[in-house]
Amino acid sequence: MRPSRLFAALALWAASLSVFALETELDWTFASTEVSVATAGAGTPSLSSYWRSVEQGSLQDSATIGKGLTVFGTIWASFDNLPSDSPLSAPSDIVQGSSRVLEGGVSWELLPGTLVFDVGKKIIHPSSGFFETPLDLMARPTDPFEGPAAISPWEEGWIGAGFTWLAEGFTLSDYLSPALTWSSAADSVLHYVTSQQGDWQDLVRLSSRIGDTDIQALGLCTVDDPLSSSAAWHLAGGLGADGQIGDALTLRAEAALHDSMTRITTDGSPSLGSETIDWVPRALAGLTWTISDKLNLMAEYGYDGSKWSGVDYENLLAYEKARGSDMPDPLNSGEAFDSAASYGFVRAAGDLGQSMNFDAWLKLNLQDASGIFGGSASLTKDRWVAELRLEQSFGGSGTEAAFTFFRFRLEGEFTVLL
Amino acid sequence: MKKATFVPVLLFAFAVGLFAEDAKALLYQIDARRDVPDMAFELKITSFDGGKAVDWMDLLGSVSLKGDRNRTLVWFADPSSVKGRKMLMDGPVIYLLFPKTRNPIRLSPLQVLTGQTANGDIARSSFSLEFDPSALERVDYDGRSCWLFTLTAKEALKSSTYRKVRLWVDASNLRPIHGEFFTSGDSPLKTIDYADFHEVGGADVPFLLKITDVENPNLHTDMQYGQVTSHRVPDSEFRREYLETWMPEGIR
Repeated sequence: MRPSRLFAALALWAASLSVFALETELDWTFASTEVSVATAGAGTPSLSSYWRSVEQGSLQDSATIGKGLTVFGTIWASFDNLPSDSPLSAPSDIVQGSSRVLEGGVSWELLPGTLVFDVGKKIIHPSSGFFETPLDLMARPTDPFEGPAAISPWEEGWIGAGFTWLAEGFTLSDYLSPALTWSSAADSVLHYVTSQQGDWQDLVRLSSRIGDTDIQALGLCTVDDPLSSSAAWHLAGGLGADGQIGDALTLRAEAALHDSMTRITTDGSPSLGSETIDWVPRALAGLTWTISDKLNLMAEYGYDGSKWSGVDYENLLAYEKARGSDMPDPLNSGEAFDSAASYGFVRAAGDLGQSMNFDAWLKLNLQDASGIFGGSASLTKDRWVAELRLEQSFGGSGTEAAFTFFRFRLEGEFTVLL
Repeated sequence: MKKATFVPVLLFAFAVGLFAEDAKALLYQIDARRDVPDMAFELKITSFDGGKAVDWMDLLGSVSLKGDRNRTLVWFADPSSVKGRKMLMDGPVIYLLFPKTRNPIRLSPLQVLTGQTANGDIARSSFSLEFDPSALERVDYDGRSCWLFTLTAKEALKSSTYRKVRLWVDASNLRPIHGEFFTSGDSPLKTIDYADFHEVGGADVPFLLKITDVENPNLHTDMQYGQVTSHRVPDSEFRREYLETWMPEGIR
C-alpha cells in the first residue's frame, strides 16, 4: 500500500475515534537518506540513497472517573517502510505495521496534593537532558531517525505500579516494574500491544528544592528473577540538579553510575575481545540561554563511560580500518554517532514570526572532531504542523564519520492534530 | 559650619526616607485594590500584527500568593498544537510539562509564551512584590490625573522579567492604566494598557491587558480574562512533582 493511502487510512481511523473527544495526532514523516554502503577496510566507500516513509498516529485521553481517580491512556500505531532505518537490511516492498499502548492505567490521588498511586503503564523519565539523558535509568532504545533529542515523542512506558508522596520539603516516589516475557509465538501478537520487559526494575526517586535549585537522587535495582538463587542483581544510581542564574539562563547537571557491563576491546589489529567494567559513569552538563524573546541557545556536554576514549577509541578506529567486510562492525551498527565517550551538543532555536520556528544544531564527537549538524524550519497552525529538516555528517577519513554509514538526510514531517 | 551642612543632609535623608515609605505604601495600596490572593481564571491571549490576529491561545489556571512569591498553574486548552501543556510558575522558577512526557522542564522567565507575552506576564499580579519605587510624580495622562511611578526590580528577589517599570496609575481610583516595561537600557521593551475592570472577591481586577511591542507597535497582544473567581488551591499542588497530576478545576 502506498504511504499516502496508509496515511489516509490512519486519518480515517483517527477521525472516527476523535468524535469521542480523544486527542488525536497523525504524523507523516518522509526522508531521503544518503548512506555509505561499505565502510570497512581501505578504499573509497560507495554511496547509496534510500527513502523512508513513516506514518504514525496516536490517540490520547484522560478522564476523572471519581474523587481523586483518573484514568489515562495513549495508544500509538505506525506504518514504516524501513523499520531498521538501514539500507543493509531493507525489507523489499514491505511496509511494517506496529502498534503499542504507550501509556495506560489509573492514577489514584489518595490524599489530595500529598499521596498519589499509579497502576498500569507509565513513562518514567526523570532526566532533564536534551541530547543525553543519564538519569533515565529505565530507558528504552530510541530511533535516531527522530532527530537529535534523546527522547522519542512516541516513548513507550513501563508496566508496573508506584506511588508519589509529596511531603513537606521533599518528594519521594517509587515505581516497580515486573519482568514480562513470553514466547516468540505469543509475541507475534502481543508486540502490537506492549514490548516485553526483560527484568524486574524498581526505581526510587527523592527530590527536593533548595533555594531555586531542584535536586534529585535516584536509585534503580534490576533483577532478572528475584526468586532464583542465581538471580543477577544490578544497581544504578544518579544525582541531578536543575537551576537558573538570573532570568535568562537555566542550568542542568546529572551524573549516574551503573554497575558491571561488558564492552568490546581491540588493540587495533583485526580482532576483537571484551572486558567487564565494574562501574560505568554517565554524566551531562548543560545550559539554555534565552538570548532574546526570539532566540535561545542550548549547549550540553555528555559523557558515557561505557563508550570508548583515548587509546581505546583510536584502537577501535584502527580495527575498523583493518577489518574485513565479514568481521563484526561495532561502529556501523547505527547512525547515532555514539561511539566516543564524550560529545558536545549545541542548538540554537528561535521564532521567525508568522508561526514559523527554526533550529540549528551540532553534535560533535570530542575525540576526533567529527559529528552531525542539522537544522529545521517549521510552520505551526491550529491543527497542523509542517516541518522540514536537514542532517549532514562530517569528519575526516580517520574519524567516526568515516566508519558510520549515515551521510545526509532531507526529511519532511506533517502532523495533524484532531 | 559643620552643623549648617549636617542639618540639610539630615533633612534630605529624612525626606528621601519619607518619600520611599509613602511611595511604597501607595504601591501596596494599588496592589491591594486589584489583587485576588487566590484565584482561578480563564485567559485568552491573542497576538496581532497590525489589525490581523496571527496567533492565539486559551489558558485555564490558578494563581496563589505565598509570602513574597506569586505561584501560578496554567493548563493550555487551545489550540490543538499546544493543548494539554501545563506550566507552573513559582516566582522566577518556571516549569513546562509537554503532553506525553512526565518530566517538567525548566524555562527561564524571559522565554516567550506567545506574541509579546512573556511567561512572567501571566504570573504577575503585584508590583510591590517585585519592585521598589525609585520616583513618584503627579502627572496628567490621557486627560486623567495620575501617579507616575518609576519602579526598579528588587535586588534581593531577582525574579522579575523586567528590570524597570514606569507605571501610570489613575489617582482617583488607583487603577493602573499604563505601564512601560524595561529589560535593560533606556528604551522600554513593551507597554501594557490595563482596561475592562471588574470586581472579583472584593478586588478591582483588570480583565484586559493590551501589550504592545515598543520597537514595532504593529505587534501587540491582548490578554483577555474570561471567568475569574476567588479560588484556593492547596500549597502542595504548586510543586514540580505534582504538575503531571494537576488539572484545573474546569477540567477535573
